[in-house]
Amino acid sequence: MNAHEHAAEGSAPDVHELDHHLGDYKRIITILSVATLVEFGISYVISGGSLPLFAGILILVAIAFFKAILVAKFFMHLRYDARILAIIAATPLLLASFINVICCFDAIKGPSI
Amino acid sequence: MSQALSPTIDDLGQTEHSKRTLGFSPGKFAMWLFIAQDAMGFVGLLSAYIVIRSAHPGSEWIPTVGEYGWEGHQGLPPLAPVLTGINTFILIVSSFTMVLALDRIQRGNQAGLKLYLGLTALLGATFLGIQVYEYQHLMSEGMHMSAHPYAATFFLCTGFHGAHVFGGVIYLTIIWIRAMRGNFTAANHSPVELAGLFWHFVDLVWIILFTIIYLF
Repeated sequence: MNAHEHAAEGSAPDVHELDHHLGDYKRIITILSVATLVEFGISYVISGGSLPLFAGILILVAIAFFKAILVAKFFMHLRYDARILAIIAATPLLLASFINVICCFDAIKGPSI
Repeated sequence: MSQALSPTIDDLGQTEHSKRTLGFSPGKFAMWLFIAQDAMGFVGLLSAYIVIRSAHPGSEWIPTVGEYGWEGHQGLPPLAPVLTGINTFILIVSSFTMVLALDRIQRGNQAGLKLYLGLTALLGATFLGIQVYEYQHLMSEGMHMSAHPYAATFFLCTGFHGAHVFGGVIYLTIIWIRAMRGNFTAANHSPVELAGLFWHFVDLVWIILFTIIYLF
């Protein structure tokens, strides 16, 4: 039984489980900080013209989503909680991403607004 | 006999029954539903930003010359990614202090809960202060909602997020006041966890917004 299930049952959680989570939190804050610095570096490389804009955008967006997934999985506890909560979180984002891609194609191909 | 082993919803009440059978409280389920619909709002605004930007390629997007900006200025002012990067770091650290607050109350450490909850609210307020400073600077340089589609979508996306940070700081302050009154224990800390969920969502959204709006 994990720390959140303990809390859900109204009992004090296991200290070893909490220690394990605390180690995860420290690793994640380190990764998030380093990834933000890397994003800055890539941004400067793009503005200097050493990296094609499209490739730079793809890398930056990939890093941003990687950071967002880490926050959702570890800080928001989706890694430890019931799977249905992750499905609730992911479903509207998948639908919205699909609509977003369609709109982008339309904007690129269509007349300027 | 079986009724004694498996208590019914009438025996436990809806909240406790939900916790035991599903592994999460109705409050947590409701918070995730709220976050899901709120995320759709952000995606809508961000989509508008991306689509309008796609339709204005190159220098059309952020005009550096022309009629925009005040007299004597050339075009719209550039954003300050370094200042906003520091703000991003502040928000990421506030997420860390929030999980530390939850960790402390799960261990029954009341003092740790109060300290880290207070720090989280303070870091959120600092983020808002820097955002207000940035807005003042941009507006003094002639960047207003009506100046250009770029300015309109910039203020809408970052302003909508700023409103969430403002709401989050109020939410955290209320939870902090309740913590000061000793309302939470290791076995009963659900409101702290729910406030944390909202705060991490605000951080998560900013991670995406910062990259798309400020870094390219």
